[in-house]
Amino acid sequence: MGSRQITEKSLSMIRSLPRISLGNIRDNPGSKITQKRGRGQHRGDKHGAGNKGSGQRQNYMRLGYETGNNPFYLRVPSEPYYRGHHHRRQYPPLSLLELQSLIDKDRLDVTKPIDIASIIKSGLYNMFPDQKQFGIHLTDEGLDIFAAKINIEVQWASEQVIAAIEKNGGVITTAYYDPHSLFLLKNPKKFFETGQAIPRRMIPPPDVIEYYTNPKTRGYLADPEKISHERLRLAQKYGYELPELENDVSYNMLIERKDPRQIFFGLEPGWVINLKDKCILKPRDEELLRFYSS
Amino acid sequence: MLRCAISALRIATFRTSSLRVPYQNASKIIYHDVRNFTSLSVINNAPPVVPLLKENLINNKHILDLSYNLWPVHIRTVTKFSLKRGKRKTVKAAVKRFFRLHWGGWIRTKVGRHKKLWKKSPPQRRRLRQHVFCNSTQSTLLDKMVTKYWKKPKYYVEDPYAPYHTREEFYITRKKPLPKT
Repeated sequence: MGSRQITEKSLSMIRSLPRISLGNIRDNPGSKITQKRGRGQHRGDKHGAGNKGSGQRQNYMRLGYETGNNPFYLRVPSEPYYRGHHHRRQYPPLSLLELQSLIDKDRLDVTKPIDIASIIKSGLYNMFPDQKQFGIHLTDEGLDIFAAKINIEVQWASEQVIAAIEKNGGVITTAYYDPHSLFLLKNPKKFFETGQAIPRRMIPPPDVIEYYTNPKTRGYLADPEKISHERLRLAQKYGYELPELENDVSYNMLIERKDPRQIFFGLEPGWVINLKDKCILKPRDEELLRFYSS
Repeated sequence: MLRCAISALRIATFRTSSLRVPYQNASKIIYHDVRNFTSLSVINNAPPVVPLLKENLINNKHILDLSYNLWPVHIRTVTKFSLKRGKRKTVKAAVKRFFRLHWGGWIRTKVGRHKKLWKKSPPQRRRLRQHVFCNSTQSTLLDKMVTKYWKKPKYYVEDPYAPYHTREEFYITRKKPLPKT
């Protein structure tokens, strides 16, 4: 039998063998040696536990115990660093630099209004509503190089960030979403597959209602006239010329906003999205309409 | 639900006309059916247990007094396996005293900062007011004492500790590349 025949035969054998899986995988024979406690005059001396004391008695002291001293972790006076941590809202940050890079990489469509759903869909930002996270905090990193005209809706933004966006002719709104709406925005398809009607968005809790009704923070519940006044004031404060929205080619895109009760752009509360038949079912009952518009 | 509706009304009153329609009949749409826990009611209606003998240890007055006057036992060390779920537990004494920064360092207050302040000099009192870092050994110990919840970064807005969570100022500890100039 030549070497080629041997190769052919072994290959055919391998082909006929079952595939390796977790069910039939095992260690090479002799690769594992289990350590046994030695016995006898010399091998069974100390069993590796050392000579005398705590080590020989295998007395594993509890974590932080200092053999009778006042332990370090109990010596320090208490300080309420974490007070109320389970109630505080978190806003995972997204910097203007990251936003600019999302736009440059064409992961965000600037011809349409940008909200948290489109930012999560870009794949480079994630948040977890079940961990007390309430949306995007747009931070000021990369503020000087930001150059995109966008209509963006975030959950928290500072004054400099608002100025950076409005300087480029863009529009920013800060809007509140309750955790349930954020679940829908994070994974709309999963929600639509359940066949439920789109719920209403809840109004903000009392401690942030001031933030979201304030025209200075571009809150979604603020008066639009006061917002345009504040836009002008901010332009004067930071010394840039405010681009006029009215003469803009994309004026219709820039003035688009969600209703305070609306979760998705273009979809109203109460509608059912049928993904299978690719149609939208809208309620007609008077009572339902009244419920979803309130 | 009711509170939501009331606050929604409050919003609606000072906002534009699209939100002005009040709504009172929410209860007709939302399904409110009282759940019937049949098995529980069966248990509640079961005949009472046969009374125990008088000479029993459970009826011993001395033992009953002892058991009623037991204080809850405070455990300050780490629980590696809880009784119910078999999970690791946080040492509450540690998170009451220390604060973990996002980069893994722990900060604490100074020992004795409220004690005998009358005999300490103003510079010493100033130093006692400061918060300081724990050393590496202590930080490793504290990391073992807490669960992963405390090691997750918490993104609060207007956080006073925000400047200390990153160490971008020093060339060895910085994470992000320097901006091109």
